[in-house]
Parts: sequence; C-alpha cells; structure tokens
Amino acid sequence: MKNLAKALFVTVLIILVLSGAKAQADYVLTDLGGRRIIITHPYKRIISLYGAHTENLFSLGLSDKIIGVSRNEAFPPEVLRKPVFSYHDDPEKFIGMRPDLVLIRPMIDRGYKPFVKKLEVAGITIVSLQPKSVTEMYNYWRDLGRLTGREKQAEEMIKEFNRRINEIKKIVATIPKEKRKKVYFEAIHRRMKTFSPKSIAILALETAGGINVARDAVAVKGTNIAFYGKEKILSHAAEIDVYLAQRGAMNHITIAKIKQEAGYGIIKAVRNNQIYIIDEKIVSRPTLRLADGIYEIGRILYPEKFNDVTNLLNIKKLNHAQYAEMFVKLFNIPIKTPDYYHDIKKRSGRVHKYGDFRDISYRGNVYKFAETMAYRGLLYNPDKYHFYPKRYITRKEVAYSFFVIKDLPEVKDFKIKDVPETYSVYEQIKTVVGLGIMKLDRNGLFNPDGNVSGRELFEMVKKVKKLMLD
Amino acid sequence: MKRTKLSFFVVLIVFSMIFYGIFFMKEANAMMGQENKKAIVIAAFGTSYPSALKAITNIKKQVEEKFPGINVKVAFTSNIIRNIWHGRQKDKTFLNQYKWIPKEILYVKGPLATIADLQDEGYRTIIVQPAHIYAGEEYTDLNSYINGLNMIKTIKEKYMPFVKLVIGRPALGVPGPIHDYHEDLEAAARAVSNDVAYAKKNRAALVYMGHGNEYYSTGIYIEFQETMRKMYHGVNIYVGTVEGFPSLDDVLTSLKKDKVKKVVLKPFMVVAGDHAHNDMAGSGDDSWKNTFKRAGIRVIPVIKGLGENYKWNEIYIEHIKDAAKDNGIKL
Repeated sequence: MKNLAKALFVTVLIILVLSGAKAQADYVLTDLGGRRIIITHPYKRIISLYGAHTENLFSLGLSDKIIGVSRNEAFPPEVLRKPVFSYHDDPEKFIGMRPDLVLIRPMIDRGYKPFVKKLEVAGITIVSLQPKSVTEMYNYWRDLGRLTGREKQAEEMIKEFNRRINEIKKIVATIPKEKRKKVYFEAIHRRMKTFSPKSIAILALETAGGINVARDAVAVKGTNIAFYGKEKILSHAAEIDVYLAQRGAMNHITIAKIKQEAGYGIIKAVRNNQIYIIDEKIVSRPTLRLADGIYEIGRILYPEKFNDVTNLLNIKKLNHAQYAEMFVKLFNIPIKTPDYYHDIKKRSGRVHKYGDFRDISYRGNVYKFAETMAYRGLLYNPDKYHFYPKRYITRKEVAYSFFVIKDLPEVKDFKIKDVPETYSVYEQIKTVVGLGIMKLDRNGLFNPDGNVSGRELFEMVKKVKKLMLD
Repeated sequence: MKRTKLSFFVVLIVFSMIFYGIFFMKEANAMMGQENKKAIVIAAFGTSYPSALKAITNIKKQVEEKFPGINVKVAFTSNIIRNIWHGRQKDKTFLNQYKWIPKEILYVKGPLATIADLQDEGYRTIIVQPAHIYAGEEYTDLNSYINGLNMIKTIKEKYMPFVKLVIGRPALGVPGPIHDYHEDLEAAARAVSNDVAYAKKNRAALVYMGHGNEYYSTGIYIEFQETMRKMYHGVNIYVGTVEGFPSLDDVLTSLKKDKVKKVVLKPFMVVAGDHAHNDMAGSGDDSWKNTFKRAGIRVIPVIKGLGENYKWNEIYIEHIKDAAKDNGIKL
C-alpha cells in the first residue's frame, strides 16, 4: 500500500514536472511594440493588417485561419475573397469578428494608438512585426510560425528562399567583378530618397549583382528609406549604369517622369535608356516573393545571364507553360506582378484578371509567365479562367504573339495553301512567313496547328530580333 | 517786399490748386468709374509633361498674335497639375533644363483665381475661352463658375466687379440656335485635314481616341466621325472615346467589319498626356494599340495633341471672336 502510494506520488510528480516542462516550452515573443506575448496555443482567427503578413500566412498554409486582411491586397489571389479590414475602421468591427490575433506593424502602433488600445482591452492579442533585414526576416517568419503552430513550415520557407537565393548567387558568380553594374535605386522620387544601405531592397539589389552607388545614404530614423537628394544623385551621374525605381503606394513613378526630371539628362543610365521600374511589393517586402524581386533585378541588370533558356531548348513540343517562360525570357519582358486590389477591380469583368487562372498554381513559377503573357495580350484567343499549361503551343499562336510583341513591317500579299485570307490570324501568319521568321513546309503549307520545339522558337525569336534591329 | 510776398502766396495757391486738382480729379475718377481693360483667359485642364505643354502655349501664342494689345492668360483647371508646376518654381535644375517654360506656367492658377487677379488689376471685360473639345463635364463646370461670378450684384452699379465676363464655346460647339454646332463640327473636321493626309500617305485608316465622359451622352463624337467621313473620301475614319460611347470595343468591331489592316492612331484631345501615352499607346493588353494589334491590325501611333495643330487652335480664336461679337465686346 505504501509502495502504491509512493508510486502514485512519483507518477504525479513526473506528470507535474512534465507539464511544468511543457509550460516552460511556451514561447515568449517580444514584438516591436515591446509587448511580451506568451504563446500557449496556435492562434486560429487571425486578422492581418499588413500585406506582407498576409502573404506569409498564406505561404505557411494558413488560408483557413485568416479571417480578415488589409485593404488593397492582391496576392496570393485567394486574398481577394477575404473580408477587408482597416485601422481606420471602428474597432467594434474587429471585435465583432472575434479574432484571437491581429497582426499589425509599427506604423500602425505609432499612428493609431487608441485603435490598438481598444482591441487590446477587448482581449485580442496584438502583435506588431516588421523585419528590416534578411536575418530579421527569417526570425520574423519563425515568429509567424510560432504564433500559428507552423514552425516546420516556417523553416521550409526559409529553406525555399535560401535555395532560390543560392541559384541566383550561382548566376551572379559567373559575372566578373569589373562587369557588375552600378545602380541607383530610387525609393521616393518626389523627395529624392533611396533605400538605406542595410535595407531589404538594397540587399535584393546586391544579391542580384548590382552595386549600390548610394552606400553613403543615411536612413530616415526607424525606416528602410534614406535621404539622398538630387545633388548627390547627380554627383554619381557618370557612374550610374542603371537607374532602378520601385513603384508602389509611396512612389507613383513612370519612366517618362524620370526621363523628364530636370538635370537627369547627365545621368549615364538616363542617356542610355537604362531606366527600369520594379514593383515595390517584390523588392521591399519580407515575403517569399522577394526572391522573385531579386531575380527580376537580375534580369534587368544582366539579361543575357538571367534569361537563360538552355534547359528548354531540347524540348520537342513546347507546351503553354514552357512557351510562356521561353517567350518572356527571350524578349526580356518584365514579369507582371499583381496590381493593387482596386486596379484589378477596375478591369472589365469580361477579361482575364490577375489570379483568375484556375488551371495553374499561384505558387512556383508558371503563374508568373502566364500572367505576364496574359497582361501583355500575347495569348492567342485567351480564356478568362484557363491558361491550359499542358496544352502544346501551335504555330499560329506563335505567329500571333510575334505580331503583338513587335511592330513587324508589312509584307506583300501572297497565298498560303492552308491559311485562307479569311483565317482569323491570316495577317499575322502572312507577316511572319513573308519576313522569313517562320517557314512553309516543302508542300507550301504553314501548318497553323503544328507544334513548335524549343530550338525552333529560339531561332524564330533570333530572327525577329535581328529584323527589328535592321 | 509786400508785393513779392503777395505774389509768392498767389503762386503757392495756384500751385496747390493745380496739385490738389490733379489729385482730386484722379480720386474722383477712380471712385466714379473703375478701370475697364480687356483680357482673354484660356482655360485648359493642363498637363505636367513639358513635352506636351506646347499644345497649350501654342494656343496662347496664336491668340496673342491675333489680338495684339489684349492681355491673354492661361488657367489650368486641374488642381494636381497646378501643384506639380508650383513645385517646380524653385527647382533650379528643372528651370535650367527647361528654360523655355514661361513663368506663367510655373505660377499658373485655376480659372477662378486667374479671373479674380485680372479683375484686381482693372480687367473688367474678360472672355474665358475653354480649350475643350466639346460641351461636356469640364465645360459645364467652367460655365457654372462664370455664371456664379455673373450673379454678383453690387448695391451701386459702379462697384460691379465685371463689365462683361463671358465664355466662348468649346471646339465642337454648344447646344442652341445662336451658333449651329453642325458648322462647328465641319470647321473642326476641316482643321484636321493633315491627319487624314497622313493616314492616306500610310495607306491606313485614321482612328481618333477622344476622352469622352461617363456622365454625358458622347454622341457628338460619332457625329464628328460622320462629318469627317462626308468630308474626306478614300480614308476610313473612326472616332472612339476612353470613357463612354463609342468605346474601344465599338471601334474595334467597326475596324474588323471594314477589314482594316492598318491604322494611324491619334488622340482626339488638345494635349497628348497620360491618356495618349498609356491608354492609347501603352504596352498593356488593354491599350488601344495592343487591342488593335491583337486583331492583326498594324498601328502607327501619333502622340501629338490637337493643340499642336495651328489650324485647330484657330477654331478657338474664331470662338473668341464670336463671344466678343455676341456680347458687344470690341477686341
């Protein structure tokens, strides 16, 4: 009996110790607002008030745990179906939805104190996060993982990001140091601001093999933006190979505006038409798409290296997915990124909108090329909801794309046996045949529904480019 | 001695009388009737592109040449565009690069402030000439400003701010029996003969991209198209709008129906600004250029505003003359 009691005591003790150990395993997260959040269980009803948080939650596979997102979010496309919240709203609107976690960032903490306070009083956990460097970004992803019980997925995100960065680094390593391009990276045109040298955007630039000319820029307190000023920009005029500008809510910019900026005429990049614009959302946000942003900068700086299509050349019959990738790379077309929510809404309901394709995944690479082709009007007979990634590309579709991408010269009328004048893409086919870009077969047939190999497409594009240069 | 003193006083009195007389007369003059100088205000939406600005400065120059001695001012109705120019006032590098940009543009004001400034300076007979295409939303708003100012009735007639404040009609006219808008349509069609010739030279159809409006019937554009078609033969002519009817889709349908293979595409707007660069000739799938090319139609875009065509600006000069004549103003 005594032994039994002893055993029972020991068991209870063990249980106590174990549960104590479990209590100790509760993670304590300190956010940027100085809050100490003891994570005892994964949060399940989350409202995110920052696009990057939302995107990362989706990357962690938390679609069903997100009950609200901020305004203007557009990626991943699923986000368009989530209810929209804003720190301008009545806190009651939040409380009524019974979230257990509201994710914010320091800007909201600083600017909307009474709003944040009301949510906290209502017992909602508030966490304010926003990493400023890549190291911080990894920890931030881990924090999001801890908050939601997705630690493993967070580690996988880090691995995936690293894998992609390493691929880029391998490409950059092949570029001799003396051939690396010097870049000015514009953050806010109106105020002549760049990014601070330690920001994510500059890291993106440097990872892609660019040399930041504004290394002496001084960060605006607590932000990734840095003062620079026109005089300083112009002091580097002769060395700026590429003028890169982010476009987004803070910087509504166009190439024309940069070209017209007074004094910019002396900048080497402006003189040589080396002005490029990149979506803010893929270069300064701490999400997986930052790797896309880095790759895009790489394509801008070293197109011949980053648009390599060697792995597609030996494909006998290109399908739509492979064709789109090859086409976008060979013509060095900037990748289309989703616009803001209201821009997507503005498009006519009859045409395809970003995210509409139901037969491709919006993770991976295919969707980027597919959307780019769609938004440039390069898809023959486009379907609002289907890209048909596995369907083989046909010769008539290729002729169609060439006609749209370049202003091909006119050719004389002539007969093609299997392409009557009434054919929907007769003009396009006649043009590419007349110009020698695509050939008729021995029997004088064009074979509009024939397939195209990787090698063939490569040669055709070469001809188009040569023709447009002459 | 006594005589000298006396004569001194006489001289003093005479001088003072002359002096005060002049002074009082001037005062009395000013109090009895204000000055009444004449001015013309050209009201345009405005543009921030220095390259597109010449459309507007051209109009001003032509008007000045036509009416020598009359003060001609430019007003921009767009708040955003005025702010952009104001921001450039002290930008030394900008000013160095664009030395030709007149100070008036850097300090450009809206129509209300421009009219008020002129009134302050004694210009009390003012003709406001809109650089608009047709009597749509912008013209209606401008007209409303003018009507509002004309509502001012001072107790004493002599303090009325304006002797005459009147508005000229836009290029394609206004409703009503005084000036038959059909004649305005014909004058406008005659003014763009060069565009027709350019299309003909390129063996292409001519497509105009007008601005239009979602809140007004934009039937005037299609009526203009028909006027053009009657006037010019041997070239297919199409007029569409960015907002309203006929839409890009409507134009495309017609092009396909007529089996057009090549078009000269030009904005039917006074200034070739954002709309011309993006909606018309942009690289997006929904630009006019891209939409036509996707249908197998070659496109020759011309990024020039109507204000760059001096014949077009003469329409506005005629409308200023009409406004003057109708209101008994001698220019």
